[in-house]
Order: sequence, then C-alpha cells, then structure tokens
Amino acid sequence: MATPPIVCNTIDFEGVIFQRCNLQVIKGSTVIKEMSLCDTDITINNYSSFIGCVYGRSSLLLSSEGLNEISFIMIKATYPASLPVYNRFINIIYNGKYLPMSNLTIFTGNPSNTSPYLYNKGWDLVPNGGEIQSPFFQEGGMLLYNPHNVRVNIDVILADGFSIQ
Amino acid sequence: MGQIYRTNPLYIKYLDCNRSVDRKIFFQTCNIGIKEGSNILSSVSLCDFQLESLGSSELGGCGGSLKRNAIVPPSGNYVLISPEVGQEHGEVQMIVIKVKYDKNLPQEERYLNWEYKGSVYPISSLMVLTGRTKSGESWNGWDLSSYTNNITSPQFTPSPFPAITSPDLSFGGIMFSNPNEKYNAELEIFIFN
Repeated sequence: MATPPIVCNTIDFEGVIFQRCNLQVIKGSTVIKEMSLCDTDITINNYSSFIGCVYGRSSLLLSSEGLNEISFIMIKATYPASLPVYNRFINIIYNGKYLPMSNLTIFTGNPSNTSPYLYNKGWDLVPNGGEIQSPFFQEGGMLLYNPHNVRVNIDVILADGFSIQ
Repeated sequence: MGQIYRTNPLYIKYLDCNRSVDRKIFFQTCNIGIKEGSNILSSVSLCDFQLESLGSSELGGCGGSLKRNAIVPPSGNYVLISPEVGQEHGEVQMIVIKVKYDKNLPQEERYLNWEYKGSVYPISSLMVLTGRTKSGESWNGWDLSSYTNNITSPQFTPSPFPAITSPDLSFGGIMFSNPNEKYNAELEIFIFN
C-alpha cells in the first residue's frame, strides 16, 4: 500500500527579504514586489566597519574617529528570537530626535568638499565638545538606543566621501 | 601610418587611469559591502534579512506595499505620504528611496534634503529606513500620514536649515527638497508595511 505524500505544514513568510541584490516583498514563494539595488554605485574614501552589540537598556555611540562628515551609514540589527516581533526595534538618536529602526538603516549624504564648507550635506557623527553625556546630541553624534532588556547585535559600516579640499 | 598617440605628461593629469581602485559600496548576492577594484574590503550579509508584514498572521494587522516614482523639481519639493499602506496611524515599516540626478549635475551638488518631524537630514543616492508597526496604535514605524504646510507656531532652536515648513510634529510625511536651481531629481520609492 502506497504511503501518502508528506505535506509540510509550514507557515508562509509574508514580508521583505533580500534576494541577490534585490529587495523583494514575498508571500510564501510568490514575489509581490521588487526593488533592485543592483545599480548601487556609491564611491567612498575612508571607512570603518564593526560588529558589536547594544546591551539592554543601553546606548552605543557610533564613533566616526578618523572620518570626516559621513557620506554613508549602514546599520544592521539582529534580535534574539525570544523578543516578540513587534518589539524588534531600536532607536537612532540624532540631532535630538529619536528615529526608529528595525533590521536595517542606510543613510547617505554628500559632505561638502568645497570652501567655504557647507554643513548638513553629510551626517555629523562627532558629538561637539566631546560631551558624550549630552542627552540628546543636538550638535552631532549618533546613538543607538536599545529600549529592551535583551542584547541586540549590530553590524555597522561608516564611510566618508572624498577629503575636504 | 595612422596617428601615433603619445603619453604627453601635460595631459596625464586629466586621465583617470585609476578607476578600478575606487572604493565603492556594493550590493551583491544578498551582501552589502565595500570593494576596492575586485578586492572586498568589508562585507555584511543581508541574507538573513526578514521584515515581517504587519498583515502576516503573527502580527494580525493590515499590511501593504507600494512602488512609486516622483520628480523633485529644481528648488522645489515633493512630499511623500502613504496613508494607503500605513496602519491606522499612518506608520509604515520600511521606506526605500533611490535618487537619480541629471548627468550634467556636478557630483558635489548631488544631494537632497529630507524633513521628517521637524528635523532636516541629507540624502545623496540611497536611503533605507525601517521600523516596527503595531495594529491600532502608534508604535515605532515611520509616520507617512498626511502632511500640511499650514504654518501655525513652529518653535525650533537652533533654527535648522533649510527652514522647517511642517508646523506640527504630529503630522507625518517626509518632504524632499531639491536645493539645485536647474535640474530635477528623480525618486524611486518603495514603501512597505
């Protein structure tokens, strides 16, 4: 007597993934929408990349030591499976504002390379005056704040454009 | 005999013989990284990237997605709102913006400003924003509910540049401004919730 085929009772994932260099909205195996990032062509100069974590109820200052005003920021966050999906977020604190982030953030800018220097074309990651205690970083500096009790792992790439002439 | 080309040192300074060693950000096989010529200097895998739709069975809300193209005219702006994809309070979980510039626009002028909740930030060619939304309440998404230019009582210190035009931080939307006076900028927009 033949055995019936095995049917795996998996729940179809519904959301966004990366497939090669494309961002895809999928529902199960069906691609609903797609946006290509294959044509990304961003020239950078110096860079810094690191892997680390933000402890629960803590903040991490993104250090840009050795870099000028930043032209590229990538932050990837990975959460423990024990954290409910709706709580898988952290906050980016920049210029006194809390910005949300779940898995991925990419910022770009075009820092000035002319004289006189024009500010605010790039991302300023240097806390002015070095006052890391400044609660809202109104004058530069970027913090990652983890409001949860569990640790969040992060991958970061920071890069500047070409040197100031 | 055909023309003989010479490597006149007077002109060498104008040659860009070093293109292959530019450091570039790349997306390749679900990785993002930096390469210098063919050497990969740093790479982060996005193969495990998964952002669940609010409409998935686990989250039980109403999700959605859209793609859109928009033009930001010279010295003009474009306001991005998307209440059709956002949850009840207009929040969405992902915004991706790609910017294309006119080929005649000098490299140093290739940027836009974007304003969100009373603060102004830069963008050159790419931006990816993510957050988390919850059904029925404001949570930690990006607010793309309606935006208004009805200035009432903005009080910002220090005064940001360009000037803020959104009067009330409870309003949503992202306003992209093109500081260039001559050329359009084209936005390719992807929104997901």
